[in-house]
Amino acid sequence: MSNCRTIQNLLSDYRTDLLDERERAQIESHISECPDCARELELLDSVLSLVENNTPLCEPPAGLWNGVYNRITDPTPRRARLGGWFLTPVHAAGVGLAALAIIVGLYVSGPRPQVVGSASMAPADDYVLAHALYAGQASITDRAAYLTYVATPSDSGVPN
Amino acid sequence: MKSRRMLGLVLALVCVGAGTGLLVSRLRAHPPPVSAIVVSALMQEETVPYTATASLSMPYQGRMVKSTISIIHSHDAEKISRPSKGDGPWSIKDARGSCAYCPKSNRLVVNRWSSMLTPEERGRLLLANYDPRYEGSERVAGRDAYVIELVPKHQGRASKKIWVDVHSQTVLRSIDRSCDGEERGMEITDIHYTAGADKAAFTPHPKAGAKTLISCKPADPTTLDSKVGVHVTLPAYIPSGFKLEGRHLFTPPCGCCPICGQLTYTDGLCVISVFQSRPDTKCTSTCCGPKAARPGTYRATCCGITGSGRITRKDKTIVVIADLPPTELRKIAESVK
Repeated sequence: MSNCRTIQNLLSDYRTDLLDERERAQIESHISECPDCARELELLDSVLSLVENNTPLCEPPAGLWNGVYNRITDPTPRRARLGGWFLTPVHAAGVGLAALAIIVGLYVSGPRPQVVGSASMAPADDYVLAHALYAGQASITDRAAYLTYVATPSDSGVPN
Repeated sequence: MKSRRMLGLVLALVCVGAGTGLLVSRLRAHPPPVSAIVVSALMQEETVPYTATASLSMPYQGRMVKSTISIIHSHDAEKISRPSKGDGPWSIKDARGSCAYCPKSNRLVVNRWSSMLTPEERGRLLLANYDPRYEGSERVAGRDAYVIELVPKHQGRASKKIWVDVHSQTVLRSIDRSCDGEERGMEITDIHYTAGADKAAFTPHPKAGAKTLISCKPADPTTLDSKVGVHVTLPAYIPSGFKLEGRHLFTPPCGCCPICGQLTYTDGLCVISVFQSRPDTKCTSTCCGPKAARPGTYRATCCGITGSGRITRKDKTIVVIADLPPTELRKIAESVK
């Protein structure tokens, strides 16, 4: 691993701590004797620092992980893909037209989710109470909701 | 000579005044470490025993409902009861769960939960999603308290103002503002710090013949689907800042609704519950909430504690409960596959 090309190929892994002790030692010993590779590392260092210092840390959206999780845990096996058959232009056009007809049909006549009454007031149900009891487990966290379960007078409509 | 003395006295007074002013301004400029107080208050359940009387107020069906409760708090256990002519309802909770007793129906509902987050992680999550602002100090129940406003970093979220005991970090008063601006509050009117309560105070003693129902218990993700009877999926959409905190098996006390999988998410302060079950077409009890008119419809309700949304589909029923705007609840419910 003594030639410069091999060393320079490993510099990005070295810079991001992906090498084992032995490889790190070899690279450090080479760099101490080779000004070209040392300059290459310096350049890489400055570029990566620029990226690290100017790129905000972003968390992937919750939905991304949730989607992956759901697909991993889905007990129903996914269908095999229709690869070769679908590549035939006539079949592809036929499938496209059929899909369009189904979508139009569903849009025109099918049942669509709709809001039934907007935010109407209702007595606290068992789901709400289960939620309130869970939410009130910490002193700050939604404690009022938890206390309400026990404390609200029965004539207010909350079952207790 | 006399005028020199007078001048000296005046100068000395000016110096003392300036020094005092500087000291006061420095003290005001350096409020207490608010984040540490908030986290400490969040975790104080495990440290400071006390007995207290508190008053609660909350909006309910267009009016303000008020109530008085008594609290016995000892390390990680707490008993809350409502004084009544006969036996009032009570609830006991500890780190593992709670049991709530209703003398009217002679029913003891037991909930056991597992949190995937430690109190420290909850504290960090709270500080990541809320900006704690020190607003001075006041006296509550005869105790000095820091006033701290928890300002949400995300729009359309609930907020909270807390009065935290300077010495014990107990939350003496709190005002919860829901996402639509409604307020509910809790204020301790009388508090006595103790060395700790007798364990017997936290032992449930329901009346003879009481019906006990284990309503909620932690669920193993590998067996949750088979117990519920549907694939319990994570919603594809969850508002930013919320983290998955627990998976539970919830048995509705009505006895006729199917068993649900309950997923809980938290942003450190608020909780989202997502219930999923087989379609509940047979249940006619109103205690399980108003039903959607027909399959495929979405129904939004508000009960004064929090908002809820329900979708009844052919394959499963989804109920989402959280203190979030109705549009957000619907978005979460509809993102469940």
